[in-house]
Parts: sequence; structure tokens; C-alpha cells
Amino acid sequence: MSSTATHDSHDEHGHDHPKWLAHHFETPQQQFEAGKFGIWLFLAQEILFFSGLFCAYTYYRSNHSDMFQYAHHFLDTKMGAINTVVLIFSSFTMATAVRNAQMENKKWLIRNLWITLACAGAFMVIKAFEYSHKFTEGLYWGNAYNPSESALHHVAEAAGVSVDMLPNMKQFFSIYYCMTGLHGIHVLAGMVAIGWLLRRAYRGDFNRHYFTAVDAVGLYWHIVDLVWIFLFPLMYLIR
Amino acid sequence: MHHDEDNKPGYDLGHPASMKLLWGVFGALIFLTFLTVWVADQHLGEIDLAISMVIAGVKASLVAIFFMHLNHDKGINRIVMVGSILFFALFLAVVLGDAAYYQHNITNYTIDNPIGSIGE
Repeated sequence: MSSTATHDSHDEHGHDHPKWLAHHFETPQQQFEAGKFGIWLFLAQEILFFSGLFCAYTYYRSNHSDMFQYAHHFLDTKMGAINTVVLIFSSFTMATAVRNAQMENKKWLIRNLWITLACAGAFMVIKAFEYSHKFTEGLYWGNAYNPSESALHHVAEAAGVSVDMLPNMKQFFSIYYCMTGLHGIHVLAGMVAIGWLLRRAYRGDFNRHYFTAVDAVGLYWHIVDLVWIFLFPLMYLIR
Repeated sequence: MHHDEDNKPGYDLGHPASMKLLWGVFGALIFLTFLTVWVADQHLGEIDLAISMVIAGVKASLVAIFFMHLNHDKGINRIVMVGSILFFALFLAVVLGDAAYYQHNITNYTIDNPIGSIGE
């Protein structure tokens, strides 16, 4: 298609392309592919961003495996598993939302986005319960680590050792809070992005030629899920 | 909405994944989550970590290939994704290699300063 014929008029409505197709793109496909490539570069950056923390985790665990063995008793596997299921389900509804956008099923697009948003909220609520429970037990990061007697007794009992055998586990909690905290910030950012999609979906912005925004937020949301897929066994399933 | 545009070149770009596929992937991910929890409680020892990482790797691949539709995506996007994971592996390998190289210093330090003599 040629848009050169209407270029001189400087009139937005004079163009022979749809309003969702930006000026500088020839076709929706070109726009879609450019946008997607950009998102993939961003996701690669996200993987490398998290890789620093995964590196720290690996280094400390290889050097202090006993600390990690004991420390996992502080975490509730059930809570972690529930959150994993919640996040996987939200990934499923997000993937379905992309399908809905591609098929111009506005009703289900909106429904699936709401379900995804609700799951993200549920994940954060469960995480907040976990964090607040740890705070009351004095399980903080770094030098703020000051575990209560009851927390130490619980872990010692679970590990089958006496309390004075337990190492100082402040490094574990520093890494735990950095990794799950950064992940939680990503969930919150995802919620903002999904909220933005909802607003646009209600407005009827998306159709089978233009759904890049849904696809892009979806890809981001899957990366958030992907990070948690590794965090769950690395934090909660140390045995 | 834009049915007249369907036949124009560069306008046909949606390839919706089938619901059967999406449900299948979801089911597999849930199954693998329960599997990894179950395996962890079997107390298999050292091999535990390797098994849980393999399961996580399979889950991550399912998400990347089907939910992120890398199976239908352009080659360049696959290269970006796989490339970032390769650089992650390189990062990890260099850090661990470096740590192993200096491990004897740490070991000697802990022998010279047994637990209790180091400040908390």
C-alpha cells in the first residue's frame, strides 16, 4: 500500500491506513514484528537482570549448602506451591487472552484479563502473608536477621538438630528477599500493564490486525511466571 | 471489523493457539509442579537439585514454546531468547569457576577461624 499520496496533506484522516497503524510502518505485520522484536530484547535483558541474583544464589548455596538445608524449614512449601499454581493459571489465562484478542472475542478477552489480574493480586496477597509471618519471627535480611526463639526451635526440630547447631542464616534471607522481592515488583508492574490492557480492551482497541500490546504484555507476564518456576524449587524445595 | 483488509498483504498476522493446546500445556505445568514437590519429599539426596532443575527446565520450555509461541515466532526472536540463556550460563560458569579457584583460601580461613571465633 502507498501512503505517499496523502503525505502532503498532513491530515490524520487523510491517510489510507487504519488509526492503529503507526505512520512509519508499511503494514500491520511490519509494525507487529518490530514491536515483538523490541519486547524480546527487553525480555532478554530481564533474564540477564535476574541472572545476577541467580548467580549469587548458586555461589552462596555451593559454599554454604548446610545453611540452605536448614533455612528451607523457615519457608512454607504449601504456600509456595499454591503461588506456583496461581501463577501458572494466570499464565494460561494470559495466553488465552492473546488468542481472544486475535479472534476479536472482546468479551472473553476482558474476562481473561480480569482473571489474570485477580491471580496476580492473589499471588501478592499470599506473598504478603509469607513476608509478614517472617517479619514477626524476626527473619529479616542481612544484619537485621534476628530470629525468634520459637522460629529457631521449629527449624531445629524439623532438621533434627539442637538449636545451637544452627548456623547464622542471614545470607539466605538476604538472597531470599532480593529474589522474591524483585520478582514481586515484576508482578506489580505486570498488574499495572494488565490494567492498561483492560482499559484498552474495554475501549475496543484490539482487533485481528492489531493485538501487539496484548501479545507484548503476555510475553512479559510469561517471563515473570518463568522466573518463579525456577525460584519455587530453589527456595522452597531444598532438601 | 476489517474484513475487507484480510486479503491485503501484511495484514494477516494472528495465528491463535488452539484451546486444546493451551489446556494441554496448562495441565502439564500443573502436573510437573506436583511432581517436583513429590520428588523433593522423597529425600533422594544430592541428585534432588538436579532433578528439580530438570523439571523446572521442562516447565520453562513449555511456557516459552507454547505460551510465548516461540514455535511460531521469527528466528531472530528465538535467537534473542536462547542467546540470553547462553550468556546466563556463561556468567554462571565463570563465577563458579572463579569461586572454585579461590576456594582453598576460604577453606584455610575457616580452618584457622573455627565457628565461634568469627563475629556474628
